[in-house]
Amino acid sequence: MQTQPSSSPWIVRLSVRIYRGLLRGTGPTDYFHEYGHLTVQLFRECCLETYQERGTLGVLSLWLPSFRDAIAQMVLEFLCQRQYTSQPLVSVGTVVSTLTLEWFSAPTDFVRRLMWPLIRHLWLPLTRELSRPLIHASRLSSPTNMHFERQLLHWRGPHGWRSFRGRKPYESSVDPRTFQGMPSIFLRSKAKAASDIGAVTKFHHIDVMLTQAIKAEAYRGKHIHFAGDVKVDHVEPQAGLLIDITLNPPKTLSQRWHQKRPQRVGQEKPTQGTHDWMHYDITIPVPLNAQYIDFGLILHGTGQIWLANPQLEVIEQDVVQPA
Amino acid sequence: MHYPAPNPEERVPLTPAVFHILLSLADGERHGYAILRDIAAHTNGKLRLGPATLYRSIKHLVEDDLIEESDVRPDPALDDERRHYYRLTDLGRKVVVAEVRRLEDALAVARTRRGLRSLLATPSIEGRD
Repeated sequence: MQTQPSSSPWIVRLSVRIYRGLLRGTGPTDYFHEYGHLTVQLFRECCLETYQERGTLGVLSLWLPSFRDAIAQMVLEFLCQRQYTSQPLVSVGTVVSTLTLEWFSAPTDFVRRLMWPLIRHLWLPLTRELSRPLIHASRLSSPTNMHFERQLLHWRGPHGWRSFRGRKPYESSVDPRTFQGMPSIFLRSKAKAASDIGAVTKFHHIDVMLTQAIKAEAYRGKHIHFAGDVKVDHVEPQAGLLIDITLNPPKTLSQRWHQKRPQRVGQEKPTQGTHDWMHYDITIPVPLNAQYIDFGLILHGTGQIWLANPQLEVIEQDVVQPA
Repeated sequence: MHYPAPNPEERVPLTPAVFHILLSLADGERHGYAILRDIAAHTNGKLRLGPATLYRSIKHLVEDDLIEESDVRPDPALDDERRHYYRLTDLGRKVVVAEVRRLEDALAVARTRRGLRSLLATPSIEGRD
């Protein structure tokens, strides 16, 4: 029987998706990599055959025995791996101890593997959709607190990296009198070298930002100029000014549902190493379909970067085409 | 270094799933779906393996050198290229024969038992309760 997943009935696609999630979530990773696709393929063929004979209800009747079989076999596979045999000793003690070690010693990983399809296809799009009006309402209409008189209010950072077991490899704050007696903001890595970041997080290279986000309505179709004085200390490989423009999401709900990340355009003005205060600027056209503008600092890797006297202004009124 | 040849007698008894998978491959290469159908057919539907049972058994049979993946494929136009075909190894063939002999011995013993003889004389004991 030839199988065409894309033309399969919905019940078969749904069944296969659940089955794959069960295998991935409950079984050993190496089994899934080596035999997972074959097991899922076979289950799909069984579903298709049953669907042709008995329709949707027939496929539903496969769920309980097949899902039970998948979970039981994956537990047995864990037992085989722990006991180094193809015929493991099965008892309440061995099962409980194995599952405790394999599943619950890494609960986040277990939940992620088992729940990730559900999270990715349902929870994330739903929360994104529901939070969209709130995010829009909370965004500023124009730059605010540009002289840091209210510390880091309306400045968001450090962001752009994923936390790892609660550890924070970057920090940001206000430096009171670093630039001509005026305050500046800074973004710095706690680690001195990229390899140290790897010890703190599971990534060796991280892009981290300290930015302010404003609505793009007043800037659409115009050129904006972002300038500021920048100082860097032991930056490796680079850091600099950043403008990041988020474009409007698709109009239809189905397109938005499948869009993992918003489309963006942007520009950086990078620097590296160590130097005293220097003036940098970026000029960028704002597309007609721009939604938000993020401006501020970006740091790739390690070191420290300061920003003082930031300014964001419109420099001309040219009409800009949509991105 | 010389390793002694594996003794097939040491690999028996087999689980029902493993025995029927090996039996199904006795006539040549088959892929997973064909093995499932063959087992359901030659056991009259009494043994229906789940996909996970089948492939976990296949994984261990390959590791134990009882079966191997086959490069021989039928006409590609008639087949799904994602399928993997398996065949018995020499050791696998000897092990399945050893298991059949063990079952024959058990059957011979059962036939000597007066309490079972009349039941075993009929082709099937179904419906005799």
